[in-house]
This record gives sequence, C-alpha cells and structure tokens, in this order.
Amino acid sequence: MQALRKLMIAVLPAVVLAGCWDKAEMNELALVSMVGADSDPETGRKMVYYQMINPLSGISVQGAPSGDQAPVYTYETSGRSFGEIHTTIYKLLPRKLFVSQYRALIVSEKMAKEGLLDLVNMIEIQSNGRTSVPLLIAGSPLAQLMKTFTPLESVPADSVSSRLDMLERNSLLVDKNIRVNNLIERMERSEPIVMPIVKLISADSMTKSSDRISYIDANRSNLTSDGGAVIVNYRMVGKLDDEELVWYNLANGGRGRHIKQFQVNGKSVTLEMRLKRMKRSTEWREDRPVVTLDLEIEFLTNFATENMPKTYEEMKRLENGLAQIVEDEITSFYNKTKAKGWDLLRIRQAAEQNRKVRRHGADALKSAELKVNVKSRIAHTANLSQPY
Amino acid sequence: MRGADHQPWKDLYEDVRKALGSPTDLVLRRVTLRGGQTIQCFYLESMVDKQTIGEYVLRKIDDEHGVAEKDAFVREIPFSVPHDDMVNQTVTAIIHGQCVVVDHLRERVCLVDVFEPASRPVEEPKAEAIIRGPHEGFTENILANVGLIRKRIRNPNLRFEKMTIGKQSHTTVLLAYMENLAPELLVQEARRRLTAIRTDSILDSTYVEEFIQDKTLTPFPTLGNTERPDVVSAQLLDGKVAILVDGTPSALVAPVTFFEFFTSPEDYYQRADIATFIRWIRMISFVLAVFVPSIYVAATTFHQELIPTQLLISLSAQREGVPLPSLVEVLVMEVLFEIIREAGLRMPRAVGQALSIVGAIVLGQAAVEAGLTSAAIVIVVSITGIANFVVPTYSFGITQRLLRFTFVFLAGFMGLFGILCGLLFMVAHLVSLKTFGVPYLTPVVPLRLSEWKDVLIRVPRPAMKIGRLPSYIEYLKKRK
Repeated sequence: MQALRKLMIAVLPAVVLAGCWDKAEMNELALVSMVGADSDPETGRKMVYYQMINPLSGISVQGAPSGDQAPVYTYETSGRSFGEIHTTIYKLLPRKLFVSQYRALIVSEKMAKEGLLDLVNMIEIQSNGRTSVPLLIAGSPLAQLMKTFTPLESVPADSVSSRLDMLERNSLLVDKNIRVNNLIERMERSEPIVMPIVKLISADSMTKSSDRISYIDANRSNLTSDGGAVIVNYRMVGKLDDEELVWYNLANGGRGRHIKQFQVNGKSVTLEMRLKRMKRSTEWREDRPVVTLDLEIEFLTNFATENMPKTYEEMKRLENGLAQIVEDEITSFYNKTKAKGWDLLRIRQAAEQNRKVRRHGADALKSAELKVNVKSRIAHTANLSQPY
Repeated sequence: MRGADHQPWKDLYEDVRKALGSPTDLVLRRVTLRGGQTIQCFYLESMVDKQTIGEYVLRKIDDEHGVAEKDAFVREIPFSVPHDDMVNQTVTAIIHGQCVVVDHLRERVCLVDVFEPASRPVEEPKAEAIIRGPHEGFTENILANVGLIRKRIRNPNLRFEKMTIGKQSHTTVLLAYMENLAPELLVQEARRRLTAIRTDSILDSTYVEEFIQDKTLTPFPTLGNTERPDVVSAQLLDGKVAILVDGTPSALVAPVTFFEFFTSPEDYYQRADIATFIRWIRMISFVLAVFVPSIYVAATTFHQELIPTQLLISLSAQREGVPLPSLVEVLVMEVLFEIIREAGLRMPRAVGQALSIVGAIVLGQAAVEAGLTSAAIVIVVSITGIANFVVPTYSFGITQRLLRFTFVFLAGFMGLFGILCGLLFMVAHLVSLKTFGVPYLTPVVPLRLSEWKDVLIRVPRPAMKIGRLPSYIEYLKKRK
C-alpha cells in the first residue's frame, strides 16, 4: 500500500506535463514536402509556398498516383515577416502545418540576392526547424517552379532531393555541402558557398497531375538543375556554370564520379574522373603564403570509345596530359573567381593553418598564391585495346 | 481393538456412515463365515481400486476362514490398526482411500490402503509443447508425478518432503530438492514458507504460489511453473527446489530469475547455434509484445518527425477518415484481441479455431475496409499478439499483456516520454524484486559477466563445466 502511494505521488505530477496537449493525430497534419521562399524588395512582403503531400493520392500505398488526385498541393501565403506566415497560412490550410519532414527549400533568386539571413534565422529559431535540407536557388519564377509536377517521382521534393543525391554521386556538378546548415557554417567562417540552381525546362507548366503522368515527354515542364549560385555573407553574388562547378567541386574534395570528354594531345577521349586523394598544405615562401593543392585523380577508361592508349608510353603521355589539363583548369578557375573576390577554393582557411601566415596577419592572406599539383593515373585499361 | 464392555468396532460402519453423511459412494460388503460371524468391508467406491479389494482383501478373508490356513490375510496384506479415537481415525482413513475391514471373528479393525484416484494417463502438456525432447507431462496424480521425476533422476539424494496443507482440502504438497545440490538456506526458506500457509484449500499450485511468492503486487512471476517433468528435473539438478501439489499437473520451481523466462527446455534439446538464435528471438519478441503498440501510439500522435517520410505518408493515408484517435484505436483492437483470445480458450477446440480465424482475419479486414481502424493497427495488434506467444512460460506471457496496456496508456498521454517513465519504473521495480532471496535481475543486477553467456547464448554442451551450478545457487550454498 505504501509502495502504491509512492507510485501515485510520482505518477500524478506527470499528468500536468505537456503531453496531452501537443498531441496531434496524423490525419490532422498537413505534411509539408517542399518550401519555397520569396520576397518583394519593394514592399518587403515575404511570400512562402508550401507544397503539402496529399496522402489520399495513394503515392505510397498503391505506388503510382491515381490520376484524378494531385500528389501535392501548393499553398501560397504572404506576410510582413516569415513569422506572420504561420498565422496567415491558416486562412487557407485546414490542418496543422507540419514542417519537420520537408525535403527541400527553394529560395527565389531575387530573395537570395537580397539576403538569406532572415530566412536562416527563422529556420534556426523554430524548435522543430530542420536545417539538414538542401537549399536551392530558383532559376525560374518561384511560383511556377512550386506548381510543377515531376514525372516518375510524383512528389517534386522527392524528385529534387533524389536527383541531388544522384548528381552528388555520379557527377561533380553538385557538392554534398548544400544544406542549410552547411550554408550557416560557411557564412559564419566568412567563406563562400555554392548552392545548386533549379529551373524549369519549359515555361508551359502542367497544372494537372493527370496531364503530367499521361504525357510521355519527361523533359517538358520539368525541373532541372543548372549551375550554382555563389553565396557570400548570406547573399547571392554570382553564378557558376556547369563547367566551373566541376572544377570547384573537384578542388573542394568532391568524390562523385564525373564522366567528361577531354582533348589531350589533339585527340578526344572520354574518361571517368574520380578523386582518390586530396591534400592542402601551406608554406611561407618569398614573403607570402603558398597554398599547395595536391590531387590524386584516377581516370577510368570505361567510356573511352574514341581511342585507347596502346603502349605504356602512350598511357604515360595521356596521364601527363590529363594532369596538365586539370592543373590548368583549376588554376584558371581560381584566378577567375579570385578576381571577383570569391575565395571558392577556401585558400584563406588553408593558409590560416600555417603559424607563420597567422603571425603576418590578414594582409598576408591577400597575397596568397595557389599551386596545383595533380597526379593522374589511368585505370581499367585492359577492357578493350582497340575499339571496333 | 478389543474391549469387554465397550466394543466400538461393532457399530463402526454405522458411526462412519453417520460421520460422512451417508455418502452415495460408501460401499459395504459382508462376508458371512461358517461360524455365523460376519466380516465387514467398507470403502469409498470413488477412491479405491476395487480389483485389489476383490482379489486380495475379500478372497483372503474368505480363504482364511474357509479352507485356507489361518491368518493368511494378516500375513499377506499390509494393514494398520486404528487406536484411541477409532471412529475419527477410520473416517480420516476412508477419505484417504483406505478400505476398512471389521473382523468380528477376531474382534479387530484393519485399514488397508487401496487408494487409486481417477486420473488421466501421462500426456504431452498442451501449453508447453516442444518439437524435440521428451513429450511427457505431469498428471493430476502426485505419486505418478514423483515417479516421472525419479525416472529422470535416479539418485538417492533426491528428496521429497511431504506436507499436508489446507484446513478443508488436506492437500498433499511435496517439496522436492537434491540434498547434495540445493542450498540448505533455500530448502529451509521453502519449507518455512510452505508450513506458514494458512488456508482452507489448495486446489492448484497457483494457490501455493500466491502464498509463497516474494511479492504479491507485481506483474512479474517470481516462481516458475511447468507441467514438464524434464524441466523440473533440470531445475532440481541446478540446485533449485520444486513444489508438487496433489491434484494439479503444474509444479512450481524456485528461485527463477527474469532472464530464465527466456530459456526453454527445448534450448537444451537442440543444437547450440539454433538454440541461441531462438533465445534472441524470444527476447526480441518480448520487446515487441510489450512496446510495439505503445511506440506506435507515441510515434503517430506525438513524434511524427521520427517516422520516415514515406512511412508517414503511408500511415497518414491509412488514417484518413478513421474516426477514433490512435490511442483509442489501439486500445479497442487490443481489447478485442484479448476477447477473441479468451473466447478461443473457452470454446470447444474445433469452434475455437474457426472463431480465431473469423475474429482475427475477417473482423480485422472488415474493420479496415469499413474505415473504423487503419490497417497499420491491425498489423501492430497482430505482431503483438503473435510475439506474445513466443515466450515459453505462460505466466510470463500474462505479464507482457499487462505491461503492454500500461505502456499504451502512458504513450497515449505522454508519448515517448511516458514510455521512458514507465520503463524506468519497470526497471526500478525489477531491480527491487527478489525470488526466494535471489535478485530477480541476476546476472545483470548484480552484475555477473561470466554468467551472461548463459543468458545471451546457449553454450555448447562440451563447453559447459561439469557440476557447475548457477552463481546465485553457489552463493546461497556458501551462506550458512
């Protein structure tokens, strides 16, 4: 009896804990899959697009979406601040906004140029805010982008996030550090970051999901990734094209397998490029810091249909040629971006590792020089000595 | 018993009949001798072996006073003679299945033991069926049960201490142990607890269990119970004590620790690798049986962010249009399952099976299609129900059922926080429990790493040390 009384005393206070009040059944939730943020620089109004999953579309229960139900619904709401939106949304939304599971955040180019600080703070301040989602910059009007259905993966957020994963593994076009938290980390270290740009392929967006699933041309009215947005101090300051993204990602340690046609010694050859090892070191030489980037790259001939080195000397020549190309490309990329004031290869961070550089202060960092050393190795040469 | 002026044996039959209230199964048989004297033989028909009475008792009496040599009956059949309070002693004897012979010729009363209660043959216990290993189970006859144990342990150190408990029922209870293996302290404690029982009747070993268990207010059984003589024998050989109760096939074993409920006799009749695997499956099943419904409730009503997106969408789609909250849904389905299960037990076997199929499949399917519950709930309840049957001991299965409901309530009110609170209480409670003085969570609390291998894995026989007893038995043996 005594024990029972003790138990009651221990359990009863638990009843006043918040438990019962913040409970919500699953069918009372509006599951947000993708968020789009925009702002009007003139009025300062913030626009937010929420793409909600329609559970009844059967996207996961039966596999393919049933034609008459949209897999997602896009709600558009606006307010003077992002906070206000959490109230104004309920003018439209019959269920509780559930943002814990969203997969992608898209920001309009206009807003990215204006500044992302407000948005990032808003996400961080929320108790259920997630900063581990990719942040994308809209290369097309956001409203259209948020109202576009995607083929195959019917929830656009899933489609976008799986494409980013695919690109990260199978190309050097997307870096793995494209999440909101990566942005925050880089900005707090005063380093630039590159975020992917998504845009619409054609402007005639299909607003009915049944149109989308019944139309064979997957390219029409679809989202695609196109280049990257350079963000410095929470502001978009410029763009990189796909070619530049390759060298940016390679020099930053991207591990994706990228297939590319090279022109070596006057001949074309398509090779799979894969970074094996990367090392950055700093020396104090001739009164300025010299950052050396050592890259060890493996080139695979799996796709080399044009020609194949036949002798050891030919192979060595090819290897040296490739190393030279990569060195030149990275150096030229570095010089181009340095001229714009973007430290995209994070030379400053590498230089600061050196004690002497630190002693010479911030001025010394400005005169830092980059030296790229590439060691290339050709692998898988034995598959076809002579293409047909 | 003789007496010149008072001869109680003359009216003994009448006195006994009166004392027993003229029972219908009291049978009186008379043999008239040549000299005109009669010999009376009476007994309770329902409790005795009539063949023995006919072939030995009556024939010997007849022979003795007919052509056979004198007193052959006395020499050939063992009997006892009541003294002092003859009527009471005779009544006691007769309800214990003895046959009373009143010999008017020699003026004596003999009590002959011809007890043979109605009992069923040795069968396989239904609740503890196994694939490989002995299929014998205890019966309601205590002597047969003793025989089943003796058959397995042919050792003079095997002891059976007899006690009679129950003011009205006078039930025979046997305390069994191996004198050379069981700690003296344990035997003394068991003896003390048994002799301290004050009750009217003992009809099953559960009656005894409730009196001698260490703690009453606990969902966890602190005594093992089994219908298998091989299990009892194995436990006796581990230095434990067993309690056999007349009239019930289930024997009690003490002490038994929490982790021993995950072991089964079958573990030792199979190869070590598969036995280990199954032991792990049992532990996983315990966790599933206790926590799956509560975690479902907590995750779907409080912590949706923990559910993977695709699963969340799928669950959310299933819940569209379901009128009840998840907690109520789970409770309704669980209670329904318990009802079906209880009904299935009581129903005749053929109907029982049909009922469980109708209940489980048809009802579940119909409820989902009618939009009353979501399909996930049916899966949750089914997983839980099936996992509950994996545990080898029935009484431990009941524990799981009780705990499950508690956790569902906690999850419904406080989510995972509630489950965690409940878990902490449960662990605290488990740590406080003792079974005949042995900590219930041995060998985890107190920590005895060397014994973990017996909990987590079933060691191959050649790797087991000969003569090694569980550490808590060794500990009790050392404590004098």
